[in-house]
Amino acid sequence: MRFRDIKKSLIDLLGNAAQDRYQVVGFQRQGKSAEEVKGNNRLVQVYYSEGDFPRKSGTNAFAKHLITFRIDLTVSAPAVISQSVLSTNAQANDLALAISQMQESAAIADESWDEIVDIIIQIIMDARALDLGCQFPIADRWISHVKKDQPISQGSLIVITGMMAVTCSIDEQFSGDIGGQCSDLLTADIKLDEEVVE
Amino acid sequence: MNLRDRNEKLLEKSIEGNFRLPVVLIDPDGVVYDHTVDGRPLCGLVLYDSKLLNPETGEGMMVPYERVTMRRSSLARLPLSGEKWIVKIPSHPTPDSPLVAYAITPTRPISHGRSIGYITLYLTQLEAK
Repeated sequence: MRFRDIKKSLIDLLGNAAQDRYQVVGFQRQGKSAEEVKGNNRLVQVYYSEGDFPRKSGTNAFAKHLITFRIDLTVSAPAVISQSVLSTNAQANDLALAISQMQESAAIADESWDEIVDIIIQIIMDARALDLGCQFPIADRWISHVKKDQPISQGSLIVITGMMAVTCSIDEQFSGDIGGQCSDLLTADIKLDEEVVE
Repeated sequence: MNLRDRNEKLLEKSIEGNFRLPVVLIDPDGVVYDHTVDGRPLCGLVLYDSKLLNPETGEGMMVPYERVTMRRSSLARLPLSGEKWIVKIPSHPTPDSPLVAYAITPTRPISHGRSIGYITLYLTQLEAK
């Protein structure tokens, strides 16, 4: 069905635009590591979430598919301090100044998550992405919802997760299942009498 | 010695005993503490990773979760919630590992353990710029 092609196109669209600002995964992982999504390794996880088939929109041969793709966004961040004070020769005054100017990880993670939302929305809603990179036209491309979760309450990295819902619609065709590949069930030579052939 | 005193004295074994690791603290004024008030090398109970559940999504997250528990009576100055400190702990749970700098920031409140005489510092990874 076409929603699978749209999903692949969406993944490619986001992957081609990443430019080391985030990483794209086209499926749901069982779990994540906070270390792997630190800094610019923000995780953008794309998958087909749900679909509606309004009864009146189709027949047994085709129907309108109202698609929702879910994009999960995960970032993590440490605190940030001036490089010089981490050396062993730093003086007390320098240490005190650097500590006071230390940036909290919660602030950095919050800004990082907002930034990745900004980037992804701009890519998806770009006029050149009207069909989400598909070779066929799609309708009603839209980002209907964005939600940021509360930071995870423990850990030396602040982790913020959240999601974005990307919707569109397409006409799907129901051509029937062709099944799996059949192995040779029967190999035999059929011998026909010459009289029968004539 | 009553039970409270004994309890506090037992911290010498549980926190500063065979399971201890070296710790260095730097307070907001830039003062470095690497010895206890009675001159012994500063140390504490250091723990590392943990697997957590994201309460919003129910998803498992492997998050580094470094924290250090120290005996309050060994410290010349106690970190308070809301303050920013630098804490150096071994990169691996062996005493000879190089020390790595972490931070205490207002992001993570400090757990005091005042009733029993310890303090737990929840550490934040620190990146230099």
